[in-house]
Amino acid sequence: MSILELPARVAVETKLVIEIVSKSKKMDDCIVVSNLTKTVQAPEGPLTILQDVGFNVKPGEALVITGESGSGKTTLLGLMAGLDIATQGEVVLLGENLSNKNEEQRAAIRKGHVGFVFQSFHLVTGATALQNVMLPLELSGQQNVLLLAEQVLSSVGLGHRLNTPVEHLSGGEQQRVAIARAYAVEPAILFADEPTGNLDTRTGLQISELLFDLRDQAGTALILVTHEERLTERAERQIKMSQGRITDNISF
Amino acid sequence: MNNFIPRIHAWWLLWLSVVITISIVAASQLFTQRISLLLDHQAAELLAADLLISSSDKLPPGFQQLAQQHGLTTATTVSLRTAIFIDDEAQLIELKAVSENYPLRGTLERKYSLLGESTKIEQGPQPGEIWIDSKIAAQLHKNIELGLINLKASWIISYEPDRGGSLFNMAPRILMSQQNLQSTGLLVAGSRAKYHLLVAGEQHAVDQFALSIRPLLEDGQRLQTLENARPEMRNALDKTRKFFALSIVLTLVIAMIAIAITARYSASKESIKVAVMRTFGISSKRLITFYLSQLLKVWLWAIPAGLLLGYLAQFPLQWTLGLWFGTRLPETGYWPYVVASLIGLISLIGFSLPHVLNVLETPPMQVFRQINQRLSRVKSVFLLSSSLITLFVVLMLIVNELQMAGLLFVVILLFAAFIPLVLKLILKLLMSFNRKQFWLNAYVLSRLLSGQRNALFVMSGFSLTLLSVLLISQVKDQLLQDWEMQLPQDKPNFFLVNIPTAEAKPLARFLHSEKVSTSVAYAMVRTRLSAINGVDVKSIQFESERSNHFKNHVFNMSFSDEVPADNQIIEGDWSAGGFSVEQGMAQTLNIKLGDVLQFSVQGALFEAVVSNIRTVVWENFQPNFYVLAPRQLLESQPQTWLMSAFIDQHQKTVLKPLLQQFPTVTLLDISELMRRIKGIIHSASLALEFFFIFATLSAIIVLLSALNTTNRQREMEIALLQVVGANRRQKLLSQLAEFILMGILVGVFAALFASLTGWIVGNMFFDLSYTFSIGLWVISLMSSIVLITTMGTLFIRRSFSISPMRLLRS
Repeated sequence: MSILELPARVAVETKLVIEIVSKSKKMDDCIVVSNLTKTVQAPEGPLTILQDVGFNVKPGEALVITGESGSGKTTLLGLMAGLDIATQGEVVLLGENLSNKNEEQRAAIRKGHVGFVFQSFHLVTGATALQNVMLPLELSGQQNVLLLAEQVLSSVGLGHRLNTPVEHLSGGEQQRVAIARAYAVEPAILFADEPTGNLDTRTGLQISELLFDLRDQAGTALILVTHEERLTERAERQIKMSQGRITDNISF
Repeated sequence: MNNFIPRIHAWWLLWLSVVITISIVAASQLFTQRISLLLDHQAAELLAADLLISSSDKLPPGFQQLAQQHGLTTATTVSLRTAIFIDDEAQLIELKAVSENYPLRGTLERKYSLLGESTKIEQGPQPGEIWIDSKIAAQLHKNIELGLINLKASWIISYEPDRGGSLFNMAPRILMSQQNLQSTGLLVAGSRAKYHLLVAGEQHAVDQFALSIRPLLEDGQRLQTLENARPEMRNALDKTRKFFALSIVLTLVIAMIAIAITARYSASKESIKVAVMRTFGISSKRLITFYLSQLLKVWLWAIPAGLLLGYLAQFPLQWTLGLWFGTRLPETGYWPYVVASLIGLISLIGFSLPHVLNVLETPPMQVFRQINQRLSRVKSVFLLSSSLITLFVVLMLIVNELQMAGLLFVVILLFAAFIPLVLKLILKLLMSFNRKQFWLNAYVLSRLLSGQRNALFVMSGFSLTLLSVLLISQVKDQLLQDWEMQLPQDKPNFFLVNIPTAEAKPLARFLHSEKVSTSVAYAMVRTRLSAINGVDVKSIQFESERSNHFKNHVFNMSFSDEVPADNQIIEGDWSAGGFSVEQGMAQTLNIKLGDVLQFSVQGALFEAVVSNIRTVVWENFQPNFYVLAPRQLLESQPQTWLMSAFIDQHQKTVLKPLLQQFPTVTLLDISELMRRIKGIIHSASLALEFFFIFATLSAIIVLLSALNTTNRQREMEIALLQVVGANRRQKLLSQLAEFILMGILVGVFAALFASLTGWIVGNMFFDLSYTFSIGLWVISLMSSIVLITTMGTLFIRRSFSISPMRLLRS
């Protein structure tokens, strides 16, 4: 089920999302990455994972970052989301320079503006699908949390599995819950790290379709890290990485 | 990554748990064996030796030589009844002549005047002097004619360790050196003397000697052990041993939990490695061999550390107890070390191997895809039963008593099955009240219900740990207190015996006028058990050596219209009018309700059926009797009367006029015996303090192990909260709320089960009344909440600064 087939009630809510996100659209770029370098201490000495990386992401843009294992794409995603800090260079997220912020300040910038989808889902086990979606809404102090969470879960096709503990769901369903959780706070940017990596081809395809459908509807910027070339089909841009450097930056 | 608490490797944690187990077992075995030996020595005071051979004839010198060949020390005593003249009237006395090194165990106490302070002394009277009983205190510092010689009564005997027998039968004692005995001329052919050979030394040598001497004993020569000791002292010692056994087991249970938790953790950490090896086609057999060898290595490395710790841990106790008893604790053999190492191995294999086997059987894909499959029922039963079998084997090795091991096992079984189930139900019920809101309550509940955390398992472990600590504390405080309460200050400290029937009432009036509180007066008839159901008692073979005491000795019987205070009828009917028999005597002689007992009094026989069996609180220092007969049977028999009295320090001036007015009455001061029993209780209490500290330390280690096992999962959860927008306060709140909820649940369950188990143990094993205490609940809840919250928060403190990048990389 795609968002295009949603009932009218859900469509109204989706419209709300679009209005909130439109704020970020007023900015020229929602992410600005300049001269980004990340070096870590390996047992054999300093190891540079990212070197002198720079690019911009426009609001609502769908960007796919591809590359072989160890090319630095997940590190780049983490730095863009403020989950880690760079050794050199800077990241400006939604107009805020992350390089001079501590973790608490970076978390405050992410709160309500940034969503995440992980390869391993990272759901709250022991809780239901509904409760997982309610969590970020409640943490950000929103009202009508129960209703909103139900609606978002219905929008990802899990209206019939609301009260099922997440560990009883299939891999595809768990990833749908993760996507619903990420979209529930109506983020300006959604970061997805190998979201289909733990799924079979057919389910993976359904999940990638869902991600792009929601992006199309909500106008959220989507930064997707993957090694699957087929996921670039609906993207507007592709950044190819190798050995910590950008080798290609292709707009479609 | 530098911010993280250095994480203890799973195998190291397992090793540490085994080290703790071995050290607890080694220390407690060393403690108890040495204390047990010490208590035996204390008990041995009742014989003034570890072993005693008595005879009506002179003992062959070969016996003494044989004892010395076994490396034992010896002493001899000769006792005989004779008469002395006091104010031209003959007074029957018990003369006891002792060799130079008497007593071998315990000390004598003597005082210079009737109301003076007692002092301890290691040796008996010197040649040329005698020590006399307080009953003939009027003769103190006078010369007493003993046969052909005159000896000066220089001291009053205030404590004679091996006085033995019944308190109420003895004529006044005179103690003298054996060197003077021959010159008294009292010991001639046909004298009714009792010869004793006293033997003492290391336990194994004493046992060996007992084995070698038994076949050499002839008729009339008897080996005496503690079985003949005073019942009140024997009861005190038995209870102390049980207190220790219970405390050790509870401490050990905590150590077992530590192994169980870390074994599970270690196995889960190995799952990826095993899955990879399985994909390479390595057989299960080879993997089992590998892991068995790993476990054996853990055990072998744990032995030296565990034994060393155990060995060192006994020193503070040894030192403190040494101070208390004024003596060095006896040495013990290598057995405690062997038992400790064995228990370490059994616990390690018993708790770890089932988890390893479970990991080996898990399909590699489930491991790679991190599918947390629920265990099948068969596997769960296998895991649980193997742990329980291990526990039972360990319990049996430690307690060595099926009934107590069985009870403890059932309690733990209840915990293993019942607690996680009830906890789950409670958590689910609480969850159902929080359907409309997830943060914060339902979130915390979901963490405790999450299978990944094994929170139910960990909480059950905590509950059992806290229960054990609380029980030790309960045993230490309440049960010991109750026991001591049975010996309150105003209990009788004097017995007045040999009261002629005509003097019983005037004596009671006299004491009443002096405001001395007394017990009811009981008649005492000296009887001998002659037959049970018409069969001569001497021809019946009994299992217990203690039966000799009843077969061969004269003992006192009395009658009473009411059930005496502190006595309880456990079988039959008091009003039926037959014999009322004490439970211990009934068990020793296999006496049942309806049996016909025949007694002889000065040659005359009388008999009746047993109409009830009675328990007696021997340590209450009231007049207590093995057998109470119907009034009409005893009234016409020759009798004297007995009563107990509490004579306070400032009332002691009454003693002199009492003895003057009632010269035939014998006064027995039992305050020294009471003081000794209280001493045993206090030393037991002190030793239990050490177990309490040990148990508390072990409990903290269990808590740390459990926190360590769940730490990685917690870090991931904190990181996830951060990713979905939680700030530092919210992250901290989530952890605090979880720890407090855990603390409440653990505290409630531990207090509930500690109360129940305390009540059962108190009633079943110690004959003590257990009162439910609100204090226990408060302590349980507070300690549980404070400990779990404080340690938990300290442990996860650094996890708050973990980069959420770990989520991306996991």
